[in-house]
Amino acid sequence: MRLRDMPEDVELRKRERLRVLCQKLKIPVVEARLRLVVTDKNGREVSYLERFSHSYTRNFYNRLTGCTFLRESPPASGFGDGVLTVKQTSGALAGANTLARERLEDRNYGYRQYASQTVSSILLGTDNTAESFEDYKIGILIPDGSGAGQMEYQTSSFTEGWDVGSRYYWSLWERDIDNLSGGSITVYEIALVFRPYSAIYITVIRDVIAGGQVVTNGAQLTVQYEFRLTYP
Amino acid sequence: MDSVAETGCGGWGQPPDSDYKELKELCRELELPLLEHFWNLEVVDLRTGEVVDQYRQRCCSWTRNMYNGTMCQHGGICATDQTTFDDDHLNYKRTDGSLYGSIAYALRRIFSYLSLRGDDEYGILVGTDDAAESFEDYTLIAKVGQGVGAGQLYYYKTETSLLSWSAGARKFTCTYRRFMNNYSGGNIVVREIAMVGYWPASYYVLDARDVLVSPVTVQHYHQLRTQYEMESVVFPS
Repeated sequence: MRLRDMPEDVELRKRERLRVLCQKLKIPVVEARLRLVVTDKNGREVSYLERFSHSYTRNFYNRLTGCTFLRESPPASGFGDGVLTVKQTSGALAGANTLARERLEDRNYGYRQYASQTVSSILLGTDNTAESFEDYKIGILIPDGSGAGQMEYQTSSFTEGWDVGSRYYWSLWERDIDNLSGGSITVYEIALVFRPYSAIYITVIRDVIAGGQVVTNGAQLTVQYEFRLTYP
Repeated sequence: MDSVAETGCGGWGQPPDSDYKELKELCRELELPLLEHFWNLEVVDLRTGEVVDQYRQRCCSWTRNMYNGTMCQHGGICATDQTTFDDDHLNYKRTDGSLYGSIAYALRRIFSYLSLRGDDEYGILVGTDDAAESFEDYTLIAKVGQGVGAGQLYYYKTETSLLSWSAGARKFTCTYRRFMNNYSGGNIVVREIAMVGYWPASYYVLDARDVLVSPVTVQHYHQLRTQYEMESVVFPS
């Protein structure tokens, strides 16, 4: 059974079993959760969606493999099976062990980004083309602004912590994005873009929201990605 | 050849291979990446070239250091806490026991296992203690030091093979290898093995320490050939 056909309760049971095995076998597996909260112009919550992110890209797999192996392939090797490179949002390639050289929790590195910036961090789009393992950028980006079809991206925020009961470390990335366009906007896709350093931007997740998430004029969409790693 | 041993973590109360198979299947279904690694050991008589012992064991003991590194790299965090090495603190414990945390510690790109000949600070290292593995391990318990004196091994450099990709199995394999010669005049019984990484400025961090299910005896004038084999998850097609 593929994930997209899996009932939610079945998936939950499987994930619980996964965590038990990971703890027992001491193998780290990083999970990601996605949350979407819409609040109207009066600050009332009008929509809430939470689910597991199902769409790590080849970039994420290659980074995990490259960082652990301490190996990578030269960009000239291409992007695809058998090659440890990452594909930047520009389409240019880089080695998969291209890692953070800068302050991941500071300024606009890692998953953090300033207001109005749409080159990294949490980004929204309107393309509902099915997620693909080969995705390296958002399909149709909703640009920053207050004009028609635009949304205002705020500075992303970050928190982290340890869950004593379940023994996992978590990092939570959040970004508020406001619709001041004068009309409704339906968000169909969300991407998480990592900036290790300089002008390198790597999409590690692209999630498509079935049916879309409507954000009416004056409303705010809060997007959260939470990474969890269960410890032995 | 005296013996040939091949084992997963099925012995001595360690998890059976069926658990690994189940975990791999769950990761495939849930579309989550998974990594595995193995130790391969071989003892060769340097006078005759004969392989006198062979051994393969699943590596079961990534340490807290390795977990903290994984969380930092993929959760997008820096390990900046230098207060305590335990739950709720992301940092690294160096092989000398000191803690390290820094914004610069996301620099795994310049982290290396490729130790040079004669260097017993990092790369693949072996020891003689069989104290049970612990998630909190940060050093070998009784490291076999570099040299040709009693109880010492002569370490060659840690090398790595080319990265390989299996189109059929759809996964990467990467192997690190290190040879060690025994010129000590006596037997050395290896009971523990570790992978230690190096950061510029002499920071050594132990990523994995395993106790061998069966100790490996390296006689005088024999060579111990060690391999650390890392396998990626099966990539989606």
